[in-house]
Parts: sequence; C-alpha cells; structure tokens
Amino acid sequence: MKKHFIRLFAIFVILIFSVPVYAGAPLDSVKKCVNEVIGIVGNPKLKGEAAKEIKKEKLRVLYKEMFDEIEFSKRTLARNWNKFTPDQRKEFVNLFEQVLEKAYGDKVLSYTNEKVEFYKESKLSEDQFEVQSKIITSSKEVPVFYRVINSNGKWKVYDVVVENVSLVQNYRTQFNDILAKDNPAKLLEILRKKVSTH
Amino acid sequence: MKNILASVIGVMFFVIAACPCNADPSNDALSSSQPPTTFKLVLSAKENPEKTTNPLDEDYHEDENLDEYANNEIKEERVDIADPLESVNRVTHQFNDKLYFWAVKPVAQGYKEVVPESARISVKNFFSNLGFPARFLSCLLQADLSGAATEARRFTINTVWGIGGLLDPSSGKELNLQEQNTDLGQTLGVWGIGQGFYIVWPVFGPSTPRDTVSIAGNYFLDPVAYLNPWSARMGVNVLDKVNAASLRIGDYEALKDAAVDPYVAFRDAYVQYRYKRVKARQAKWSSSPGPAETSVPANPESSKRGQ
Amino acid sequence: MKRHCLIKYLAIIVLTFLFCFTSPPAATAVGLFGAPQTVSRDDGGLNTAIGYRYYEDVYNDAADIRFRQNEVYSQVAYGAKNTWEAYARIGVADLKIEDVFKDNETFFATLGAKGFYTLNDQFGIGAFVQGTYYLSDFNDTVSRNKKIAIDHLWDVNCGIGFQMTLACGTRLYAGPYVYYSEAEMSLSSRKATLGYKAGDFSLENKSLAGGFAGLDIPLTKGFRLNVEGQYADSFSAGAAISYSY
Repeated sequence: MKKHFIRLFAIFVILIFSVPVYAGAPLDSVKKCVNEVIGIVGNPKLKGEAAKEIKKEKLRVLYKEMFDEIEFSKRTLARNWNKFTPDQRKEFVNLFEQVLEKAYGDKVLSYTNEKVEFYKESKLSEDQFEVQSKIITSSKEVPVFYRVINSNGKWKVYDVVVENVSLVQNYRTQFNDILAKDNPAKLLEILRKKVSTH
Repeated sequence: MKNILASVIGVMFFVIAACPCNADPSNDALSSSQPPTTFKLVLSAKENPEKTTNPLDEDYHEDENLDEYANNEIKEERVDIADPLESVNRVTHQFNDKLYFWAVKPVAQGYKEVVPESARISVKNFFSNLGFPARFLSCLLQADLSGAATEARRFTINTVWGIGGLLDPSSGKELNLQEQNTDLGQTLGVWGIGQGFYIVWPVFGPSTPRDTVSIAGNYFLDPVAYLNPWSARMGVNVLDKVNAASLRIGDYEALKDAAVDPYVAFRDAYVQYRYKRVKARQAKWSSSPGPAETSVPANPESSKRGQ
Repeated sequence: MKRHCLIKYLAIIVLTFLFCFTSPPAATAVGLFGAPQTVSRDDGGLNTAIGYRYYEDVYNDAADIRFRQNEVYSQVAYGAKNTWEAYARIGVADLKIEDVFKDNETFFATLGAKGFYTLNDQFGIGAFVQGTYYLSDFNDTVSRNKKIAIDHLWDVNCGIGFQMTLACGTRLYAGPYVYYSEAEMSLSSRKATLGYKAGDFSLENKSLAGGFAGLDIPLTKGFRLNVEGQYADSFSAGAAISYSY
C-alpha cells in the first residue's frame, strides 16, 4: 500500500515539474517589470534633476532585465542582420538601446500615476506570448501590448506594440529603407550621429 | 525500499533536468554561452554544439513553428505600402512638420495654459459627439448593427444627459458604451478595397486614396459643415483642431525623436495602424452578431477575407 | 432586478397622473421640485436630467385668469453627501390662457438649491428653494389688432419635504410649499371673456401655498425616474429622468 502511494506521489511530482506552467507567467513577468519601472520613476526619495541620472541608471539595468535586447535589435534588422559582422552587430545592439533611451527615457520619467491595467495574455507560438495592457490617462486610454519570448526560462520582451503600431516593424521599415541604399557601416554611422546630437 | 529510492532519484532527475524554472537566469546575454532553450529536455539541447553559440553570432531566421491561428498576427507585421510619390510626399511631410512646430503647437500650448484640462476634455467630447453621423453610417455599412446601436445610444445619452455632449457618461464603467473607432476609410477596407499607395496631404497629414474618401465623406457628415457664416465654420473647426492638439502635445515629437528616418517612421506607423484597424473591423464583420465592444484579435475566419 | 420596482409603483404613478389631469388649474413653479435628497453620489457628483411638466395656474389681479403651460427642460445639478444639491435648468414652455391666448415656446431659466437632513435609514427631511425667470415674453394677437402680451413672468418657491425610502431605493416624498409668482399683462383692448379692460395689469398668483408629492425610482445603471404632482388651487404634474454621474 505504501509503495503504491509513493509511486503515485512520484508520478504526481514528475508531472508537476515536467509540464511547463504557462498560466499567467508571461503576464505576471511583464507586470512585475512594469511595476518596478513605475516604482523607480515614482520613487519619492528620488526627486529633482540630480536624481534623474540615478533613475536613468536604474532603468537601464531594468531594461536589460526586461527586454531581450538581442532579439529586439535582431528583429528590427530582419534579414539585414545577416549582413552585419559580429562586431557590427554588437555595436548595433548598443546603439539601438541608446536611441530608445534618448527617445523614450524622458517620457518614461514623466510618468505621473496614470493607471496601468494588464488584462490579457494570448499565445502566439510555443515560446511567444503577447501581453495586453492599457495606460489610462485622464483624456484617453492607450493600449500597449508587449510581445515576449521565452529566453532561458525568463520571459523577455522583444516587441512593444503601442496603439496597434509595432515598434519593431516601425524601425524595420526605416532600417530597411536605409540599408536598401547603403551598407551596414553607414547605418551605424547614422545611429551614432543620432545618439550624439541629443 | 529500493523501489522507493529509485523513484525518488527519478523524480529528482526530472526536476533538475526538465524544469525550466530552475535554469540559470542569465543577465548578461551578450557574453554568456547560454543558448535560448525550449521546453525539450535541456540535455539534448546542450549536446548540439551549434546551439552553444553567442546569440550575436546567430543569423536571423523568420519565425518558425508559429501556431496556425497566430500566423496572421505575425505576418501582418510585414505590411508595406507602395510609395510612388515619395519625393513629393517627403516635401509635404516637411511642410506639415513645420506647420506643426511653427503654428499648431505654439497655439495649442498657449491654449493649454489658459484652458484647464477638464474643459478641454469636455470640448473634445463635444466634437466627438458631433462625429456620430460618420461613425453610425460606417457601422451600418460594415453590417455592424450592434456597433450602430451603441453609437445611437451613446449619442442620445451623451446629448441629453451629458449636457449637449460635453460630458461622456456612456464611456464610463456603468454604461460601458464605447465609441466605435471606425470611419468610412475603414469601411472601404472592410469591403476589400486595398490601401493603395501612400499620400501625404498638406494639413491633413498621412493618408491613402481609400482613406481620403474618409476625409471627404466626413466633411459631408459633419454637422459643423452646415453652419452658415463661413467664419463660424472656420472658427469652430479651428477650435476643434487646436483643442485636440492641446491634448496630444508630445505624441508627435516623441515619434519623431525616436525615429531614425521620421518620414518613413510616420508612414509605417500610419500604415500599421490603419491595417490593424481594418483587420479588427473585419473580425467583427465575420464574427457572430454578438456585442463585442472591444476589438477582437484576428479570428481564423477573418484570414479568408484577405487583405 | 429594478424593473419590478417600477411595476410595483406603476399603480401609484398612474393614479398620480390621473389626478393631475382631472383637476382645475393651479400652482406655478417651473418643473418638478424633486426629492428632497439629492440623487448625486455621496462623495460629490454631477447629475443631469430632462423633465417635462404640465401645469395650470390661477393668476389674479382684477379677476381670475387661468394659465396653462407645457414645459420641457434640461437640468444640471451638483450635490454631495446626501445633504445638499444646487441645480440649474434651462427649458422651453408655451402658454395658454383660457381659450383666448396661445403662444409657443419661450425660454426660461431656473435656479434652485436643496438641503437634506437624514433622520434615520428610512426617513429624512429637507427644504428647497427655487426660482424661475422667463427669458422673453409671450405674445398673442387675438383678433385684428387685439393683442395680449404677458411679460416678465417669474416665480419663486420654497418648501419643506418629508422623505421615506422604500424598497429598491425608491423614495417617496411629500410636503407643503409657499410660492410667489408675478407677471405683467398688457391688453391692447378690452377682453370681456377674461374680465379685463384694456391696459396694463400686474398679475399675481391667487394662492400662496400648496402641497407636492412624488416618487423617485431608480432605473438601471445610474438612471432614475422622478414622478411628481403639485397642488395649490389645482393639480400639476410631471416626470423627469435623471442620470447620476
């Protein structure tokens, strides 16, 4: 009797651990990260201009944790990624992060208690999910979807879709246009210039 | 006794090997040699030497193994539009850009300083309410009867109990009658008419031949167009546009700053947005006549509609 | 769920209406007084309403004259803490006098305020004050150069109401009120049927006081139906649908 019970218990344990538990994990993961961002931005102890740099540094760390930078950057180049050398690829990923920071950094920092609601998660493939959220401001509701991919067991964001416009697709079109006429080195130069002029 | 030990070891084996939750969360993907894992046994994945490369060294592959129903979601990202008038469009885009920064934005900012946000939101509600005929007709033409009914109810409630449309009680949680975000251009899209090519109109901004019908049609369905002294019409339209701009200061600049090539960025954003809107409306067309107030992600049936 | 409340009180509503239309003309005051307690939510909110009222009035200077009016109005109100409410209305009304005078829609504006004191879960007592002013005049050409004009019609009412809360959040209320109303009448020539010679007259309401009673029933999703009757010399009655934000 005891043997039987233990065998059942073992099977039960095996089943629990070998079946990947999807329910809610991507949504929870993104929600946790976004809440951390809100926590950093809204931190009452870090007010004022001087604290801005500290906040930015913390956000950079969080960005690396939340986003799969390589997937993100790779997808904005699509097939053109294959034309880049490994060194160029590395520089591209770095530059792209800086472009995003310069563009959206201040916007994120100016968050003032708008309500963020996570309401849905849908499966795109075995490894990919789309987590749907919306930001509720006083005058409108902005739908923001995060597309996440399973990377080493963690759910990382590889695309952000704001009001039906995918960030990856948007940059992909721009980079495609540029790379249709020029080589990768030129694109890197354009990005360097953009990052330095702000 | 031996059997128990065997089962326990077996359990531990599976726990360690198969549970992805136990895998090392590697923070620095750039320098580690952790390959992206799937939910197969990690053992077999690690045996494959090609997989232990730096993600930087991996080439780009199209997304494989997407589930059937998600195919449309990913595929539609590669929406493109023909742009034969690119050189002309770029010039108009520059013109609109200057118009925004030199004329619209300063006025909108001044207006924003003077007028409190709740008043500006009321004005926005008022003009939204006047957009009822265009939205109502669009819903009917898309055979979206529940949407049309919702629009009618919204108009009645907002006009009678919302102080002539200044307030918007219909959108609240209690009544939950949401504005149907649709127009004549989307109607044509739902009927199967393609986007066409990209045009940038001065003042009106990005558009396509199909969506230009929207702009023209809205003019005839807009109650303001029937105001008599043309100066009154002009004045009201200006108020509408300045008010709307004042609520969105920062959006245009954000996209422009984030872009590497602003013209292409706006073109792509516009195209994606319109494409997704039409897709959402098509999903409504082909789904059963039930009140689906919020936009529904693409149904398997909608892929048959095409476009 | 709320529908059964409506049906339950339907009998009362029907009877109220029947009473009103079978009685001789009377009281002034534009629109319903409404329940003594505000329909706005506790922490302070807006409520809007549209209402209709039919009323009859007896004015008097040299002789009694009966006024009849149909009013439609739109109301905006703000109230809080189940204690007070301030409201403003704008509407249109017509005017008929006996069989002699008839004029169409004229605008009026009304301002009012009410206060409420809760006695216990079920009962409460409140007071209100309300004033109306007609924004333009009523004119009628009776026959070939015989003109009647009613100018500067205005009134003020104040009263006390007792309120009882019934099942489903329905409120039953009743109370007395006093009012004063005034109008200037100009007759271009003698009007025998009215009992007046040519000239200008200052009309005042005949009765000073009256009573009112009504029901305020919750409908679905923030809407409420208010039905009320008023009586001074005779009945007037009306209904309004309000929405609480």
